[in-house]
Amino acid sequence: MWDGSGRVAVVGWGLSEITRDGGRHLGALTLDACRAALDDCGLSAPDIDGLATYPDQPFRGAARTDGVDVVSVDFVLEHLKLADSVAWYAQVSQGMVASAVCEAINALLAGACRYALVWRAMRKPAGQYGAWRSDRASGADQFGAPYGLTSVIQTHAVAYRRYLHRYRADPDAMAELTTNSRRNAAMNPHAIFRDRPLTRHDYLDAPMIADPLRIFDCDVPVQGCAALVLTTAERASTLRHEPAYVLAHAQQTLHRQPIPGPVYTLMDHMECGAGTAGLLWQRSGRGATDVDVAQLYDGFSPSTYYWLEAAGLCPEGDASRFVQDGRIALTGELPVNTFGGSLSEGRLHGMGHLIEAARQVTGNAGPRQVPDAAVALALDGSPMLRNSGLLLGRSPS
Amino acid sequence: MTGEATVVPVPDELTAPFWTAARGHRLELQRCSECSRINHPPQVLCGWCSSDRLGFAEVDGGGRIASYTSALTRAREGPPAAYTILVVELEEQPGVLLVSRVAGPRPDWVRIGQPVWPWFEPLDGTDIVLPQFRPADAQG
Repeated sequence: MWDGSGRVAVVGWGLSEITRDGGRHLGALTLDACRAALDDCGLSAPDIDGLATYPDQPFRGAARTDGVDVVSVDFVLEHLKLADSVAWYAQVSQGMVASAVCEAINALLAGACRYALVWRAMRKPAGQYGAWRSDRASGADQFGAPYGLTSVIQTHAVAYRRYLHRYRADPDAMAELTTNSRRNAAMNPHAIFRDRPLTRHDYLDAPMIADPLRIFDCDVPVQGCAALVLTTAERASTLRHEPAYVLAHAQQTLHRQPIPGPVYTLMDHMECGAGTAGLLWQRSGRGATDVDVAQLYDGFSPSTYYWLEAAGLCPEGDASRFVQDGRIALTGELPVNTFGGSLSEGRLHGMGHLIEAARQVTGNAGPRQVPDAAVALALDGSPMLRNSGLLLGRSPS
Repeated sequence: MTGEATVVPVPDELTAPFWTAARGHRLELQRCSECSRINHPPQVLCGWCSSDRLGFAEVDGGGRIASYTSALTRAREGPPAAYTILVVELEEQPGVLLVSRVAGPRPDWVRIGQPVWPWFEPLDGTDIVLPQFRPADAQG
């Protein structure tokens, strides 16, 4: 077991407004989210001496202007006037934002900082998100794009097609997962689709984008920022609300297959996911049966299936059946994506999952609160080749 | 692929032999002289044994459809057209995946496990020939 288990906690969080079009620059939204996170825990900017982010925009053709397309450590340090206080920082490009949180946890345990602020700023430019715009393909793309493999949804579609085949799963079963997330989003004031109910009929009637994936199997690109604050368990007890103790953190940054192929395979997802989940169990001394509520990445809906199985929350091949019959509803045996997920809250690239996990174990999920939620799992990534996650607890041990 | 603006591959130092062979209607993949395994896409070091003794050799092109997905092109002119991407796994070395494309509504032969064989499609207006796959029992 990891000797850091329970010694660090998430103590505050905040989100900016989340929009689909126009609105303010990403840098302004980031400052909003960071200030909201500080208010949430009762700290002020000069208290922050550690900063971490995952700045890269995960879509093809993303630009890099600071404050517009990405929000760097430099930007936050300058605009929150932290130059005199910040002693540690990390700008992470591996894994997901949970990897930046992992860095902050390690820094806090090492005594490199006392209070760490971590944010994920997501850019939504005008026009089609991540569209292929070139008439030439170089590098790895040359074996895919000339054949029409020009969108990441297709990569996910072929893995999911494989999944359906391998486990004789019913593609219509995904309606349960997507409508459940939409119902939860109705109780989430930040969710972009909080006022847009989704029925089973709506889901099944929607057009295929890259079959077997439909429009409602894709998360909605948004512009916004989500931030959280971490500190050590000793300091946490002096702050505004109950801490969400980090029981374990993990990331998977290793290639599982010898060659990065033109598409990620089903086994890429499953093996990478199992690796990260396994580390969480080993480090925390817990297991899948200890999880009261699970926030599982859903950039595309099948990722939630892969995580359910990779984390051992249901048997291998069984996720399409597991999500039926209210099992993953707020009142069910294992509530999943209680905030609506990326599918219905908006594409915050995993930060929404981490924050909701912290809300649940600290009793701050409002109408979405799962009674007696003591242990929450948050897993970011497709799982694909690089992913990361946290296991949070109401108490440190 | 007439009537559509197709994306043209840009050969580079690592991949040029693949495209040269394709122009001659041969499927050649990178093979490691040390461990004899195929690396595709071509690598700087063998993904299996990390050797840099890598060359290209013609492979037995037989494969099976591992997966597929159908979508609509976002054509620059005219209405969107249906097409299907195939992911083909090489029989000679499981795990080696090649992508292929079938224009139009998805044919019945597209299913997981279908045996396929290469054919070579010139890209109009370029000197590129694209290796493609079709059912092993098709004429050609």
